[in-house]
Amino acid sequence: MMSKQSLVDTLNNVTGDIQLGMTVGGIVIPIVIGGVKQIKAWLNEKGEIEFSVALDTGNQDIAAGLQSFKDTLATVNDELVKEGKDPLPDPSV
Amino acid sequence: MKIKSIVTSLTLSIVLIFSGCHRQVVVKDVPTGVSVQAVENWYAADGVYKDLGDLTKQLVNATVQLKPEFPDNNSYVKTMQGFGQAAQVGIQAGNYLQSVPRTWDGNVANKVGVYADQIQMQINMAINDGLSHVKDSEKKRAIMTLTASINTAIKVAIALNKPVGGQ
Repeated sequence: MMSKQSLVDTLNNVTGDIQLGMTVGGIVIPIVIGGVKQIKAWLNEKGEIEFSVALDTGNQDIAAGLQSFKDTLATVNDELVKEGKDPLPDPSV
Repeated sequence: MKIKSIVTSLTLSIVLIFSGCHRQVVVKDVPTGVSVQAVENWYAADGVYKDLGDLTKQLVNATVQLKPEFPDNNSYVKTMQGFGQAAQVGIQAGNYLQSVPRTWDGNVANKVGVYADQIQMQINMAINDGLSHVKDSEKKRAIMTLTASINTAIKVAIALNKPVGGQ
């Protein structure tokens, strides 16, 4: 994996804002939209966070990730049903 | 999408995921008896888990739009089933993490690592079974870029979840 310094060096060779996305059927599906400067700032940030805040944020991220996976399973199942296949069960039900 | 922009996208995606989207932080006021490093890893890994969920969702949504590019319905179904199985593992991982709040020992780390491995395996199977046969080469490259980002996120998740202290 690239070292953090290598990533910073790579970014230093890039100027302007970049939209990370993929174009499918003329539609840009955003992956990440951001400015290089902002990304550089994140890389160089050395922040501090309270334990209680870390707990809250971490738990919120788990909930958000879980919801994304559930949304993904719902999308997959819609497609499978359209193709005449059985949907996959949600393991949490 | 030109090769240069694809490479740039991939690099920046890795940057964002590697950094855990501003997750290079120090956690203060950790209670006595709790490993600061373990809490920081848990916090960063939660961010990666969220990223994994987001990226997988985007990959599947993009794949649905690529349906006309698949050579046949069978490969599309196989791809969707692979992604669905990855999502099932992702749901199990999230449910497990919610069932062990305020716990960041080696057992949790190992189990999360196993889930991450399984997600990676299912996504790679989905790619090999169908998505790799997408006809349009530019679209295929774009989707592979996103897939590479997911694989990177998984590697980071596994690395972050290694037990602190080499247990």
